[in-house]
Amino acid sequence: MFLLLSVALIFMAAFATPAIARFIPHKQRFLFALVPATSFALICSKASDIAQGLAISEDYTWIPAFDINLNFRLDGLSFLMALLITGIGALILTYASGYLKGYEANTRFYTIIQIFMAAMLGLVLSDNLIAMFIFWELTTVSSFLLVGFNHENPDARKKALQALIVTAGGGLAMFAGILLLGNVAGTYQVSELITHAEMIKNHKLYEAIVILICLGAFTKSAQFPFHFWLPNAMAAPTPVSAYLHSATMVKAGVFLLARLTPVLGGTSFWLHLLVYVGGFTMILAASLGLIYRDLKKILAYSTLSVLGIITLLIGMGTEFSFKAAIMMLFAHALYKATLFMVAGSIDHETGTRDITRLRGLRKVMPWTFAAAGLAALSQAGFPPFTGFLAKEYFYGSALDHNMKILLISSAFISSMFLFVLAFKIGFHPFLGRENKKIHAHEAPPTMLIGPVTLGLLSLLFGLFPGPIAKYILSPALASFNTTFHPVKLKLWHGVNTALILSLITLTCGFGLYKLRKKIRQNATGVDDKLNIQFDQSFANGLESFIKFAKWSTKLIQSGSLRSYMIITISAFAGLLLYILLYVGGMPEFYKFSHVKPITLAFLVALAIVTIVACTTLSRMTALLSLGVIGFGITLIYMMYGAPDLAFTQILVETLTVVMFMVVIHKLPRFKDFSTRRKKAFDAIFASIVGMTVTFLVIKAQNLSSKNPVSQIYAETSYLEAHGRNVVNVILVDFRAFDTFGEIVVLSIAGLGVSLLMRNNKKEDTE
Amino acid sequence: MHSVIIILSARLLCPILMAMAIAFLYRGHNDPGGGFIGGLLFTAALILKILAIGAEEFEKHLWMQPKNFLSSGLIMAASAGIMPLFVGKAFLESLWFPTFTLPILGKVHIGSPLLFDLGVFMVVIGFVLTVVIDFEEAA
Amino acid sequence: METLIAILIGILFAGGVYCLLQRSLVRLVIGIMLIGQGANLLTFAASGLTRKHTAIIKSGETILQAPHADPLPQALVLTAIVIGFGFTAFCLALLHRTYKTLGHDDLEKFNTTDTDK
Repeated sequence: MFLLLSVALIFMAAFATPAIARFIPHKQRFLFALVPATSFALICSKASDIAQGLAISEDYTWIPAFDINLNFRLDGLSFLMALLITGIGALILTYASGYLKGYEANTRFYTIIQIFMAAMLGLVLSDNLIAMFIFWELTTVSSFLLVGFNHENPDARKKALQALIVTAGGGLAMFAGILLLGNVAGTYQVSELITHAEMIKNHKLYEAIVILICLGAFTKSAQFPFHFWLPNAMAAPTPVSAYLHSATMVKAGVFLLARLTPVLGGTSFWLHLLVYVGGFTMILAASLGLIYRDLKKILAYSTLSVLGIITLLIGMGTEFSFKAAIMMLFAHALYKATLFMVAGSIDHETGTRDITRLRGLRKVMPWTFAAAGLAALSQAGFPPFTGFLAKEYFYGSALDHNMKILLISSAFISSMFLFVLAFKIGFHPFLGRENKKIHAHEAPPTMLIGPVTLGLLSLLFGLFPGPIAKYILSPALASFNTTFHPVKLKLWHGVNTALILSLITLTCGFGLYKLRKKIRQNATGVDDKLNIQFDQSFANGLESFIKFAKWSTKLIQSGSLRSYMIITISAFAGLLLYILLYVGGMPEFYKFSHVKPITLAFLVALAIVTIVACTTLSRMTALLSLGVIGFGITLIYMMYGAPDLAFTQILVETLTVVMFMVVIHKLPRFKDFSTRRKKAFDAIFASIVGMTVTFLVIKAQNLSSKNPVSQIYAETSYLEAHGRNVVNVILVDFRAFDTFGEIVVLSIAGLGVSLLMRNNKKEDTE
Repeated sequence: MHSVIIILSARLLCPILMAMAIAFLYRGHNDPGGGFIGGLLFTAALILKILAIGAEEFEKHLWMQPKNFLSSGLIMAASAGIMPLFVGKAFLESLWFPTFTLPILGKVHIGSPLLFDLGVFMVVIGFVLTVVIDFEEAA
Repeated sequence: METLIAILIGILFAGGVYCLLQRSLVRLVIGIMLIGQGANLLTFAASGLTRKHTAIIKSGETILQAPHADPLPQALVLTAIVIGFGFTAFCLALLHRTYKTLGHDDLEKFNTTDTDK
């Protein structure tokens, strides 16, 4: 119940929010943070189990026939993610209560972000890949709603749509990958897939599975060449960017990669794919970040870069690199959420995010500056922050790896750039001379709790890494190794290559930071070109897709009922003929015997009347012919032992004629719209269909079932249902549910008729 | 339009047709008949009346709105379905009272299928009346 | 005899299909009605026909004795007749309204969803 509860709690809170919110004044809306805080506490209560390397599982059957179940599993990796989601979630909601105070629609914000939160929590806790995929798509959809939160702004809508198309498209590819994986291994449970890992890696579909699943992960985590949506998603309100686009959702991709490493990882295909994509993203994004002036754009690019680092580290596939990946993920969540919230506060209090205009805010916004400074130092990799630990592991694992030279150099470049990006946000706006044109003031307490807490944690966990090693790193490593052994984490490893590299990075980074203005000025335009190219090709692709859709729609849906009819009916008749002739052979024509001349005459008359009904140009003749056909069929029912049918039919025919009589003058006269040739075609076509149906009936009459369904009805009708008229007993007892459905349909049809006719009347009187 | 023949025959035939309709409804379980046939016959009687006196006049005489026939029919059928749930049977499973004997009808069986059939009867009446009155008024 | 009924059903279907392919709305309704009749008869006749035997248990007997008409298609057709009636009524109402709104009944001209006059 426990894991289900922690997810369901947030879902329920989300759905209750619209009703509750009206009783909570805007100032008190930080109370919403209590919801994720409760889940956080629930998950924390299992810390001691997790620290011993245990995993907690809860299984709920959902669709067992398809092996789709709600299997929640809390192990080291999901424990870390769950803590980030709920913990940072609580702080973000507090922050949002200050940030969105003025917004009209902030109830909507709380609802959607809580749905997102619950979905994200479900995603990391699901052991079943299908269930995980459903939560995954739910995060995509809720993130779409959040990016497009300012839906009155067309630009925000466009960017939200772009994010949706990219991530949902990747999600679909991933779904295909999951299905393939499930087919190959026979299960969707990650914990069971691990036992089949060798078989999966040797399977001929292995590469396809990896590519498809990586498409999902790369789009979600915005890896090159899908990186462009993340900077664009900055159109979202800042609390959303802080939460979705740094701490949680974009981590879903790397989380999935980490989760599936024991299943799919360890091959050279996996290694090269992840290392090259991750490495390229990390350098490209970090260098692009250098040339931007918008605080949130800079943050977005540095996030991209770190996501690239994590992908690369997971791809490297050693225990050391995995450790580094976990540390990087953890450290990044802490400092990047802080920096986003700081950027939001600056934007909120000064009205601008342009760093060329922001100077000297340290005096008016001291607390914000403190938080920003702590987080920036962590990102830059100064000891003793968690960011330093992460970078040390990054360098350490790179030195350990057989692709040493490549990895070290790229790690060095990206770390240096990340240093510059950190300082551009954490220090640049606060230091220097005040910009007199900007009137700023300190952010309200609700907007300070989050950044200050997370900033301090960045420092504290760096100074005292013991709890991290015990509760997070060791258990998370167990998800990778599949065996558990405790890991120690130390701040000081003595003077080694990694430390020296770190120090060089810091020095070079600082030098580069001093040159930041020059870089930006020289590179102006490059960013736009690059960005526009990606945006443009995305837009072009989308446009040609829509064109194709329009073209194919036009092709299939010509708007002519006649051609629809011909297609539908010929498909029906064609399939029927195929089955009848090729599977069953020609029907036997017999039972022509004992036909009285009078019956023959009767049937021929009916046939002639049918033809008259179809071809007459007089409405009255058509109506009368229909009546004659109806009464003729009544006779057939009567002859063959169906008095109930005969009664019903004769009454219905009478009523139909009455009904037609009432409206016939209102109906248009028959007109011949079709040409002679068309009519000839129609007649031939219709005859073929008619013949097919005749074949079908004859065929069916020749078949006899050994145990007809009716046998049961015939035997139990009187004894169990107390009725001698078996037809009626079937209607009101044996198959009463069908009849019930039918009278519901009849009622709806009646209301529909009423609506159509009454509306008319209203228009007439107007 | 309001011909004397129709008015007279309506006056004469209506009660007979209605009585027949109810008889058909009741005997449907053992002989040809039932809710559908009974309902159609009943409306045939009512339509005769409509043809005789016109839809607007008819609506004034009608003791229940056509749409209420629909809803009350559905409620009857649904309650025939729900009743068995209280005695631990499935939805729409039949439920019978003990047989008793009445002077004219002889042995009487009353149970939920009869109520269900009555629901069908009402819905059919409601449907046809709705349609015919609306068409008549539009014409 | 059954074969003759089968041919009649074929003719009903053929007539119905022919009407469906015409461009006039009224014909469309007639086509639907003809196919409805044909389909009812098809269901009724498909399981074979028995003459002069109903699906009613004779008094004094407790089960339906062999030769008897098949009660199940009868029950199906009975509901189908009534539903068909409902459908026809609905089609008529729709036809009436369409004609009123658009002023014509040429199906080939029904290419747009806009009915603003």
